[in-house]
Amino acid sequence: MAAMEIGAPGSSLHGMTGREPTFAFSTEDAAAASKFDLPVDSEHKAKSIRLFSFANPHMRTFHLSWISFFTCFVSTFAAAPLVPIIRDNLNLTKADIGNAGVASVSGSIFSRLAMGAVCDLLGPRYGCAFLIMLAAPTVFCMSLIDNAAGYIAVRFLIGFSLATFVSCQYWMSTMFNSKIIGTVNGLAAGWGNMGGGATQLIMPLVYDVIRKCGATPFTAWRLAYFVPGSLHILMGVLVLTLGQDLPDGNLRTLQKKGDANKDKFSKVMWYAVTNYRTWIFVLLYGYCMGVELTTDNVIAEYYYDHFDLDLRVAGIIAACFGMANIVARPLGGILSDVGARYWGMRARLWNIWILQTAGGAFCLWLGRASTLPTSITAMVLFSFCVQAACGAIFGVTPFVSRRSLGIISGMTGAGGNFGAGLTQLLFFTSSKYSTGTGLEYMGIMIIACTLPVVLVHFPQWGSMLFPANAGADEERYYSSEWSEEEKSKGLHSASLKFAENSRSERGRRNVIEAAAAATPPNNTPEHV
Amino acid sequence: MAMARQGGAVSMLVLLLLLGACSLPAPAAAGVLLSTLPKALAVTASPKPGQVLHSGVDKLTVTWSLNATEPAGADAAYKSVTVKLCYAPVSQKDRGWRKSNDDLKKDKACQFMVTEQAYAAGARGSFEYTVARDIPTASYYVRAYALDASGTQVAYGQTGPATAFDVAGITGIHASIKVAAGVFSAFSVAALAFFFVIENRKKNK
Repeated sequence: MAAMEIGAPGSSLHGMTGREPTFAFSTEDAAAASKFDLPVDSEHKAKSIRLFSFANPHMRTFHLSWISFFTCFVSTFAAAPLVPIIRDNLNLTKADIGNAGVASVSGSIFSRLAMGAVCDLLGPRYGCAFLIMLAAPTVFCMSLIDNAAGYIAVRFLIGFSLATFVSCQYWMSTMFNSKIIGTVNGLAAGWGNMGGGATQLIMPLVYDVIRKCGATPFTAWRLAYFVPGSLHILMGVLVLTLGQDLPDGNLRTLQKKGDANKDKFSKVMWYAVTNYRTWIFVLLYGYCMGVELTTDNVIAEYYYDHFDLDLRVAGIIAACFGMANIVARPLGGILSDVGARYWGMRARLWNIWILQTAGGAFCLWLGRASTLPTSITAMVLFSFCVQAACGAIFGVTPFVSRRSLGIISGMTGAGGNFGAGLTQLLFFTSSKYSTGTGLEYMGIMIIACTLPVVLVHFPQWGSMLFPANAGADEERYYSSEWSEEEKSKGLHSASLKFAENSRSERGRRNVIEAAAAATPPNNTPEHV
Repeated sequence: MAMARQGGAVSMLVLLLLLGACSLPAPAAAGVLLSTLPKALAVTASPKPGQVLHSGVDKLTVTWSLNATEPAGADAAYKSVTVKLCYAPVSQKDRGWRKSNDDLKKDKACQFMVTEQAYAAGARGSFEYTVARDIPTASYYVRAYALDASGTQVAYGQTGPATAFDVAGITGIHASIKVAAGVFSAFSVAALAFFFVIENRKKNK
């Protein structure tokens, strides 16, 4: 809209697109209700989730997204259960194996940062498809390597595909309403992360089948790698043919029609980086997801060495750690959403602190456990708490910013991998500590690095220790990311819509206060 | 409702794991210690120190007999012989999964069986072994255990670890794997490019 003088007719309608609901309370758009399978809000995001449906666009997106992410986890950690065969084939030393483990999680630090920007600019559908299909050749390369350097390099390259996490979370945020975003993100990410556990069962099974068909061990593991590689190609094609970026269509078609606004990368980056909450969540995520990835890499070996277990039994226990994601991560999201219904954002923040600190305590216990039953109990409790904390953190990140959602998701995800590489390097590479002592120290570091969540404060919702600022509201917070000039052009309309939908983060008490404030006591109703 | 179901699933999982943990086997009793066994067998292997054998192709001949320093008749108890291929110290370095251990039940250095056959007292036994295709690239020496009637080790002999020969293992890469990997990778990139171009054309129409 062209710049208008103040007071000129129509000037008070800056930013309106004519599609806002005209009632004081939101009613469902009748056209939207008939077009979509699930109930939707004003942004056409689904307000509920139906797990066993594949209806377009919301549930189909959900399933495409989490399965793609699951596939990337399977291929990134596919080497772990096969290491006893691979280390003999390639003549690896312990240092080579350790370095490959660090490499496998480090690659995605960069790719997750880039993916955030890609999603903001090109849409999550292309982001996911590009990554998963370009990573397929690297998975096939694994079948062709014959020395340690090649092994480390290829695991590094395959690790790039873990950036599908960002496209997955971003895609969920465009399709599902903020009231259930914690649950949805927790389910999608948790089931994706489960790939790290599933691969410890899948790869040895495929390897055994190929061996039974007559291949030698050194050929069989190479052939087994064709399974994750083919899954990459399959999922890439499905995402491209069946997926769409937004409930109303694909990003490019919408951008052409003028419905979705194209944004400047430098601006998006600036508002992500200058928000202090972004950095706190980057640190926090490093100490729940990072710790989970590190444990995925070392736990089988720990049980094999410390308790003299058979490799297959150690692998099954290792799989249990990763597979707990099927319930643990969604549980973190559910707890976040349930808490928010009563106490708003403050409950979500407390939820994170409690879960992650408990996870650190159980990790400390795991490092100290000397008998097998206590050790396994500690490991299971540790896995539940730490994975639920991951879910809880992504119940909050969609609210940190609307404009820079993609980059913040990317940075938080990258923080996870950075934490993984760092903890693996600090505690599990040097021969100064045993693996058990490393786990103890890791537990202490988790507890210490979770404290900064106390500092996260939203003016309109409060923080762990302080209530909301008087007079602050959601619109002001989300509009503060746009300059006056951009606001006058109406570029912030999507943020305003989001602000309205996010009022649920005030919790139940504040909703009552808001309703009371809307009808001042001295007004007589009109119909009297 | 969903929360109750989740909670139920969680407690089931924990219970199953605890049950599984309690039913795991107790650690086995200690085995025979190598340091207690007499080195009563004289063992030779045909490869010269540093010679490279190719797995699946080359052969080695191993022989064993009672050591000349032993009194005659010391081998009355020996009923059978097992000959194993053991990793030399250079191949054990930085590889904890190949570590030698005095306790033969925990020893991981001698992983490959060459032969197991009956022991003929007073005679020189020998066996020609084609290096198996799953022997990895490393340095090895040969060790033979003499077993009594119950299968427990009672004596041993070895050619190393001071002198060792090398085995060049197979890579496991066949030409067909290379071709398949190339074809699949090319397909992946081509499919992506195809979709991208088609959608761009549709957008620009």
